[in-house]
Amino acid sequence: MTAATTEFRTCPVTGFKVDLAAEKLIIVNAVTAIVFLLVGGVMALLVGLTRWPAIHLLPADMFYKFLTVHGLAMLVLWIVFFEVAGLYFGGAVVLNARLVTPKFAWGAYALMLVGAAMTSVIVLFTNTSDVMFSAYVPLKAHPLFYLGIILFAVGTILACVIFLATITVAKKEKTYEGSLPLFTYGLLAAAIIALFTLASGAAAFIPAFLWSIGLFENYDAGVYRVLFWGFGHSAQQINLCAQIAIWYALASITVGAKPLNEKLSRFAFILYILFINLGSMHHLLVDPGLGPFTRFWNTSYFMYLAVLGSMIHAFSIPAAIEVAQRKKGFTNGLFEWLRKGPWKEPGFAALIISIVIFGFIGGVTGPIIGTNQINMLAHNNWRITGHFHATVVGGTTIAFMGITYYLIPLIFRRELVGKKWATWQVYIYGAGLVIMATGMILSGTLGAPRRHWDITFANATFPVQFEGAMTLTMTLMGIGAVIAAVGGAIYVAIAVLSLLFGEKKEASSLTLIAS
Amino acid sequence: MTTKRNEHEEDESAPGTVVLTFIFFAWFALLYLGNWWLMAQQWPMR
Repeated sequence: MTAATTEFRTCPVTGFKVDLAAEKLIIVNAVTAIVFLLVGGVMALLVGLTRWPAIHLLPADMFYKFLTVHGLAMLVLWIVFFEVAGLYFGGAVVLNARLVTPKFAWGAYALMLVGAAMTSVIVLFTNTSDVMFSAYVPLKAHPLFYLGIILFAVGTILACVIFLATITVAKKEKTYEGSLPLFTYGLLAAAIIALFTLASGAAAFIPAFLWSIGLFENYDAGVYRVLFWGFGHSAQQINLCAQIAIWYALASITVGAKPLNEKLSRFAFILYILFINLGSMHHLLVDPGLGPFTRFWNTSYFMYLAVLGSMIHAFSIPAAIEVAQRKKGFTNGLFEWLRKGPWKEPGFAALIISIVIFGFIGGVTGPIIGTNQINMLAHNNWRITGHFHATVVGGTTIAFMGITYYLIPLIFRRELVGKKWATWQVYIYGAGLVIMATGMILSGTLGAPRRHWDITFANATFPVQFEGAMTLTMTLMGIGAVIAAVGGAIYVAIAVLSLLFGEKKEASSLTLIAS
Repeated sequence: MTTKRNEHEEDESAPGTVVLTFIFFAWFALLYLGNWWLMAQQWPMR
């Protein structure tokens, strides 16, 4: 399809020229993302209720199957499908450009969907592949488990290449002036990180696939771990870039905030590209196969340059909100701008809650448990799980939920059903997350291992004793998980009801509740 | 006569965010040092 044959509409609110082919792809990728969020969310509730000692719901075999699918669905499938929707939005819509090769974009979607379904089905409906998200060698899964991940990765690489081609063609066809908008720039950083992340994933999973079909006998477990974490943790850095791009967008949509120093914000994204993947090495801090220089240099020096990037954004976005609010007259004292923010606007609530949970729980725990000496005690205990639920779920997922409420009227062109519920949803989900992550972190600090069906070792020959307080902290986790599941269910319900029954009409304003 | 260097500079000030940043640093320091203290309590080779 060329520029001459591309069909556009003009958004009456934003003024964007929207490529209709891109619009369809954004819708289908976003809907698929929400379906996988639902799948992963149901698994989350069941896993959470199993780890709640008083309930201990699932038998062991189902627990590990559901935990494997939960990890894949929430850490990869929901987020990456949503990110691909974001790439097409940021690449085509925000730049008033046409999406390059929509047919290939549909091919990418098909590959991702087939791969995602293949891996999920093989884990859930066979007894061959409950190997967890990390699938550490020498645990051997069914070949279709690896093949599904490989197909998904190839589809995602294709989507990233289409995004890069789209912004290149947009520049050539002069659909925008000057530098890339900051939102698209953040997504560009995400796409670049995605490409080398997925390359590392391919290097881990293609040999694993060949090994699983018996083409060779041994696959070095140490090599796999290095390659896997080049994919496994770096995948979360793609989320981080996309999440921060969305933070800037939500700040702009809800209070009209503009970055204080756009060059500095762009520089922070470059810090991510250069250094954040090296932080993946913190997964290997107790790995005996790697020398101290490799482990410490990456985790104790380079990773902090990526942390600096996060600190820049963490200052820049609230400061931009403050400046925008002060310009509106909220100048009394230090915090009137915050107190009188549009707290009933779901996007603003999602933005602030996402920043607070990501920064004050997820962000601070990361460098702490990534410190070598502390890692000796924290490694593979539940503190780690608490940390990444605060970052990936409290940070990324809440940001994605927040922007969804604006994409539905602007891109799906449907009236959002239950606007007030959208606001409540953000608070309920955020509260559940805080309680759950805190329960996990406290349990881990008391010594609870992660990924474990029964840490009491009820029928073990040798009794295992933990602090009595752990029952309380694990119960806290369970209560938080139930509250978060209610919040997640409200999000899915609002999205589905809006898509099915929301009035079909063009959006009339950028905000939903605040004026 | 004003002491402001320029209007633009005053418009861009964010004193509340500066305070929030220091609260964040204090929280991080508390957790970081607390974890080292905790580690000292649990370290097996003492």
